[in-house]
Amino acid sequence: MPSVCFYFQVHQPYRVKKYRIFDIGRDSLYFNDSSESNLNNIKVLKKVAEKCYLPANNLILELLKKYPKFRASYSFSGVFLDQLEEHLPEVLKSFQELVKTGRVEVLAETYYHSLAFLHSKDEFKRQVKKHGQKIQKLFGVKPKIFRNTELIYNNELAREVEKMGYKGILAEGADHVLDWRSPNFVYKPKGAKKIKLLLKNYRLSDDIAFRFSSREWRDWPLTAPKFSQWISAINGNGQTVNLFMDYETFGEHQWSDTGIFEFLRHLPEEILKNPDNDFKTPSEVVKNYPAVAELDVHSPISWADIERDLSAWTGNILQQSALKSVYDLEKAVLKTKKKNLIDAWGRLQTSDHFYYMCTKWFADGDVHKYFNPYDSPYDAFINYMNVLSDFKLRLNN
Amino acid sequence: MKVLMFGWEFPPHNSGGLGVACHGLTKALSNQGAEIVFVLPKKIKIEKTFFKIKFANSKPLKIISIDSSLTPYLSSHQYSRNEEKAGALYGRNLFEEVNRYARLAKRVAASEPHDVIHAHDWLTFPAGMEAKKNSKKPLVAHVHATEFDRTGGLNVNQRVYDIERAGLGAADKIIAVSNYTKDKIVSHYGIDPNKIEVVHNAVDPADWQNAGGHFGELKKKNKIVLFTGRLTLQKGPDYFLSAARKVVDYYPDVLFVFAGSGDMERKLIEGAAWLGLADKVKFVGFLRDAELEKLYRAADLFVMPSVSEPFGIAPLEALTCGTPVLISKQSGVAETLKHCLKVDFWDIDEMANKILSVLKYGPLREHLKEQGGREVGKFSWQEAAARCLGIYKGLTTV
Repeated sequence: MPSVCFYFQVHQPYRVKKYRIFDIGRDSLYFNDSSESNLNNIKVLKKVAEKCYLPANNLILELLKKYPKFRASYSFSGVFLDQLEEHLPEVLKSFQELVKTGRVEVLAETYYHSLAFLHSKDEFKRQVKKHGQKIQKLFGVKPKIFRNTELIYNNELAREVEKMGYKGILAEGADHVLDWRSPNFVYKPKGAKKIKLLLKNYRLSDDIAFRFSSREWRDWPLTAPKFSQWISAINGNGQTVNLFMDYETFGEHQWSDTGIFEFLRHLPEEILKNPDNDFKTPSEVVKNYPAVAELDVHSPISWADIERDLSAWTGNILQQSALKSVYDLEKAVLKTKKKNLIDAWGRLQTSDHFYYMCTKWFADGDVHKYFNPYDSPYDAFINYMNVLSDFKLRLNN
Repeated sequence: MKVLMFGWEFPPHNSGGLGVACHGLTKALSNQGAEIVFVLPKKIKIEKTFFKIKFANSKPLKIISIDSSLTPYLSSHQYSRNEEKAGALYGRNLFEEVNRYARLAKRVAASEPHDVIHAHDWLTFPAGMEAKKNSKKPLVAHVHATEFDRTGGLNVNQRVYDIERAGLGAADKIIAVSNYTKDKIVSHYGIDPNKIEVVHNAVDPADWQNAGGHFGELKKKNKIVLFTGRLTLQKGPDYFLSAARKVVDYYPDVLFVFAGSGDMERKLIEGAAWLGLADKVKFVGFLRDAELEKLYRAADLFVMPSVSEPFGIAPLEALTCGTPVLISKQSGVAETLKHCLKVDFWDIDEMANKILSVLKYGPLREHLKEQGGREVGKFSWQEAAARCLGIYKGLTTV
């Protein structure tokens, strides 16, 4: 002890192309931007594949071969896998090879990387099921651990997910719910029977994901030996160090020239130098460690921003009205039984659309925090609502 | 700090943003302890006159009017047209008048002690330069618009340009109302960027809290989209009219109100009729104060479609009155205002798309109004005046 538990999130949304009111009723292709902008989904996918997915997968495979004790887990959104199947099958294949080693776990999530749990339990269950089928088909495994979009979590979700048969669930180790407690243990969600809760150690995770290349950071440059010492220091007062982050950390958020790949390459060796340390998948953590206490999380938490709440997606009336408009369509959409409509509706639920409408801190000029392919949150809203107007027309015809 | 300032008529005698800016800045400067002698051109039939006014808790402001027919935004063509009516008292053409004003200004400079000279836009630059020759005090040239903004870059008048460049060259420091304007000064006039400071304009909320009531009848059936400003090429009213045509096809219950006058008025009225918009477009002429405020408050959206807007105070006024704004990206205010919609002035489809979105999507209107109303608080004349004082201090030993 402690075990290091890696989980990488892999997701790309279907961004909505520039869509004006005049296009309503005339253009039902919402996601096919072909410009040089970052609304061009294929362009973004290819860029990130080149900078992150391919080199990172090569490295992880190399580490799995070299260190029999190395483990990792991934969660892929269904919309990401759809895009890989259509445009970059070779990248999908490189992910499949990782899973084939048997030491890489695949987690469950909502197919459309959506906020469905907050708006419709039925739709939520439909999406988790659809995602499970996709994972089974592409990777030949059945996920046992669930992680919700953007690590959004509360007691109610844990109970729902337990009923659906999952053994474990992931969440943010937010200070305001942990208080004096440590994220380095396994917990039991309040009101649940057996399902176990794994909490992100956000300090150590963010040292890699956010601070790695920051020269203002006291601990820059971060090296594998240094990080391993921090892990070893937990020995005796923690059982699992959950390092949860976007996979794009490697090569896309932290560029290759920051040394992020070299850091990762040396990390297993350094961590395993201490015989007390090892690596575990989330399922292995759940199997090996008991829940030390019950954790009560009534209001939803997430892994976003300082607030660790829902405000990045539901904080303003633009986001709230857009969400309401899309979920109001549930019955009408499902009634059509038309695959193309149901699928388009799902893609319009992806959380990123609402994130782009976020106006928190916007006036302070802190836009770098909100990587946004639109010129402004207002443009994102206008575009989205125009598309939704067209979609409603199609539903009524 | 004694400031000799060559400026323009304050509201309610102004004819645009230049007078508003002079008033807001001067008031805040006196409030912060500057002693200002404010010189302005005015047709008074005697050589000069002066009086003192005092804003609350401020140093008194001495206002000296020099008899002249100069007004802001004057083109030499317009000047000649006006002078046919005015008689022989003033210069025979605009440039003669600008020079005559400068000679009179020099006498003022000789009799009024000052530490620094501050001149607003090209018509006063020769006055500022004459004063500087006389007193050897530093000159600050404040640029609210260049000839490239006024003409949209077409038919730039060489003599105006020459006067602007001479003034900018002679100035010890230049104040630009935006980075947008600073870039123009650097690229078109060859000025060292280090000589230019950007001081954004502002809005005084106290000027906009009087008008009660609404445009009840107009509003009952229609949404209102408002344009204010001179009806000139620079302000882009023709782009606004073209966008209106597209909007009406999708949203018929809307009125487009043009508040302002200018040399494009006839062309616009004819254009509206030609486009079949006669009943959707209202030309209400130049409005100010309570009447203008009522219109700001009645509007569902304010649009500033300027072809080139060095700053753009009007959107700040609209936001202060609780109305969301759509502004041209070719403006100074667009570089700092976030809670608004932005569009390239030439992109009529996008302008129409955004107007329609505001009319159609209530939450968008609400959010722009609420957040924009909050954000507009960051534009303060006190802040602008403090920046000016800092610039004066850097140039003097006072």
